[in-house]
Amino acid sequence: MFSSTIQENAASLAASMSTKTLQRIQQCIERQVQYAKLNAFISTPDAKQFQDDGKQTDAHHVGMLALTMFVHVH
Amino acid sequence: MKDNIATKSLRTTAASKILGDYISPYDATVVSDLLDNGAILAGKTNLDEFGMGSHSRSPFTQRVLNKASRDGEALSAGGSSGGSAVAVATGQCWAALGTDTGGSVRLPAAYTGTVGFKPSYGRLSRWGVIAYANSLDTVGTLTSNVDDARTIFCCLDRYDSRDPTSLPVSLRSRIEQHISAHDAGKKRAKTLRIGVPLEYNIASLAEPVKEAWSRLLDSLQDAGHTLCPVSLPATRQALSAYYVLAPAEASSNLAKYDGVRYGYRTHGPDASPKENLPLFAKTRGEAFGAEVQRRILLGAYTLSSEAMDNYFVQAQKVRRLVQADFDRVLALKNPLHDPHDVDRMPPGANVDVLIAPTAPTLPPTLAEVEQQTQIEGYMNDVFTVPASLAGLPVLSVPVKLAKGAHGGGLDSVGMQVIGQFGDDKFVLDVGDIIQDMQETI
Repeated sequence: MFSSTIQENAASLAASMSTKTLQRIQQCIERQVQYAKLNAFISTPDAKQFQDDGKQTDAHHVGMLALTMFVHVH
Repeated sequence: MKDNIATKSLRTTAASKILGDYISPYDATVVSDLLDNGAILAGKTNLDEFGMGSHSRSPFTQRVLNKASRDGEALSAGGSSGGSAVAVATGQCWAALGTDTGGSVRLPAAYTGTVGFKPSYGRLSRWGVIAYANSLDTVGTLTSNVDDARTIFCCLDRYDSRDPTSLPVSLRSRIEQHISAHDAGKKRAKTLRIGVPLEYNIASLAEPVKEAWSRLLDSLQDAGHTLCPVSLPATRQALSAYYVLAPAEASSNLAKYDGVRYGYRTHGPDASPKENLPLFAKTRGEAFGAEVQRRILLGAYTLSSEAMDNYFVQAQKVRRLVQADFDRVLALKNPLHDPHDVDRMPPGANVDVLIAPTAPTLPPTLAEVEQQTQIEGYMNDVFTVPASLAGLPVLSVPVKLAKGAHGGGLDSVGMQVIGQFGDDKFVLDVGDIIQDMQETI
């Protein structure tokens, strides 16, 4: 019973974190386009790479979170 | 991430032609630590070539422009971490890392209205950071508030065995004990003793900067803190000493860019007797910008046998005097010193922190920068260099300008909070106090 709750919680967290991270990444990309003339960056990852990095980081952290919750419950 | 910090996923050029296509086979420790803590890399930020400059303009990259302008002319973003500062100021990333050798994090922070933090020398790993001047280089943060600076600092503040200048675990715990003992002795009350260095009140201090400094000090006094005028006499020689020491170290650090091992290589045969210059000299002549060449030559000269005693050795002595000045006025004794020596020191002003402007003037326009002489350019670092020579933690916090003090979008000026070596968290706490007072200043 505990493990199914953990899975549900982790899945719900994954969804919310992913949305928030991707929104932030999207905002950064839009600002990078808007302020490109200020030449703040020498190189940037392409947008897809940027978003994939975000998803990967989220997945890693959700996994760690689920593990922590599992250890805590048991 | 400033482009002189190594990353595997993106090129690391240090804004130089000599590293134009260089991709590092490894991430710098600060990069891997951030990635391990969930950071996502938004890009590599622009800088002065190898961090040598105060306005983020390398001959090999587009110059960085401040978001703010005056009379339609873009203002300087400061340097050398100007790209990092502008990226944060415009929301192109959440936070950025820079490097600070003589003020390269604090000056851009002051010019862009962001928070710039240079931790104590050796607290953050320099492994994977392209060296400019080893005894001064420090990784720093650029953020939109003090809390974010603290978050990143806490992620990165650890011993790294791959960096020989990283503070070892034993010293870190000794510093913590030293600070705890100081606090336990109730030497640091809730109200601060704030040192106001008299030598920073120079004739060329711009009126809006002076006014903001004075207003901040008044507000701190109104809040119950005590102001103590202090004298740091060696400050007058600090800038000269810095411009002897930093180029000397740079001339040694940049010797490895010879066109043989990696990076840019000139065309033609390795050594042609018909051409006057050997391969490495041609490569370096073509691939280093004028400022880098100037500093290499200056450094090579000051390290030469005929000049060493008059320049390099004297500058090292001045550095010790600058450190002694800070140790004399700060209440927390320097944890790097032998406790017996500290006990023998004459009593000083016993201040908790020092507060002074980050830069003597408001940011110039890029057109004004072009007309400056080299010496005028170096003068931008006059307030940031002393703490760098002493390796102290410093935070540059934006303080609102008086209404109508400056045209364009700029509405703040940077103020430095300088603390004792190892007292980084306290410096950040004082930064919080100033930030929270913004509405009343």
